[in-house]
Amino acid sequence: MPGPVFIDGDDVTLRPVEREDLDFCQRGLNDPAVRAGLGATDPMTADDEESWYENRVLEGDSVQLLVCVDEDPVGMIGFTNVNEKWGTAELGYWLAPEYHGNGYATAAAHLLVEYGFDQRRLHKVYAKAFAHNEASQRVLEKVGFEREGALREQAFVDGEYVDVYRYGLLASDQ
Amino acid sequence: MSQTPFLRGEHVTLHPETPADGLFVTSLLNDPRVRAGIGHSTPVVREDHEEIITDADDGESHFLIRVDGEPVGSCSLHEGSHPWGVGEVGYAVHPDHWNEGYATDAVDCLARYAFEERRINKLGADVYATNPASAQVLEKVGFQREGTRREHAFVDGEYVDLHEYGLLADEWRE
Repeated sequence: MPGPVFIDGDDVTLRPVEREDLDFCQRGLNDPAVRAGLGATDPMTADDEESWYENRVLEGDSVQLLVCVDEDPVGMIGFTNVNEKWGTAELGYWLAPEYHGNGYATAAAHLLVEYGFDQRRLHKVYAKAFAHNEASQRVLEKVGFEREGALREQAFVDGEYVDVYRYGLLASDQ
Repeated sequence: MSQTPFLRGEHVTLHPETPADGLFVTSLLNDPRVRAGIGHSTPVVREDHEEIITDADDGESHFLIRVDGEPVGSCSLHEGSHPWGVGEVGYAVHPDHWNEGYATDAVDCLARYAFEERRINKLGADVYATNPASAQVLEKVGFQREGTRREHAFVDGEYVDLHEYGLLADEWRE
């Protein structure tokens, strides 16, 4: 049972991550279909999740929220690399594979970006997507992000070097 | 100066940075002319420098740039934590020694070291649009501009574009 609603949308709600939700996170982050899109290559144990929770959620200045549909967690979204001097933050998200294709990531990204600009005084939100991850690029483009660059052969995924696209959205783009 | 260089360029030698270099490095990084080019907006004291050196993990190397034994700048190589084989270079030369090719020489050394000794596949570097001298250093070494992050940084009262450069090991060997 996820925690209270922090950001309320029509299709999804964003809620604080409670320790009880770590089981869901661990399952998601070990799932090959999720890992492939994130470039996550390390197995995540329950202990890893605990230390991520303590160091990144409870401490530190990243923002991590559970994406929920009704009362069910379907994925995660957050800001990392928050730079208060520049007013920038990096957007990241993933959904459990059974919830792909319903527009939940786009809805969640809309909500978080709005929160970033309106409540956190961010000047810019940026994100990365692998060149082969078109679903993730569509999410960013629907929210209004512009592609700002293509880092050639930057990542190594499934046996080959792949390009990484950089996306950015300025508060003034909105 | 009798210290053995770790890397040798055409004119410069690179030496592992130690706390004993703190006076030079802090005077370099606190210099407004240098800070404006590399995004250092907080004062750096000698203990901060010592912490940077001693807390550095295995993938992070800081070098003092010397010419004829005299310190002229500082540079670094950061290897990413993911298994992609990507590293990031940074460099700063004291304004008294600008326009003498020392930064280019130092970055060339770092590239050789990264590709030939550390098995890094790609080097990246970020440059403010307001710092064309730094972009020239990268271009001389063979880096290509891969993207422009719009209004990504905040320097001297305004948002400025950040150019992203990349150099692949294969390109450097050609």
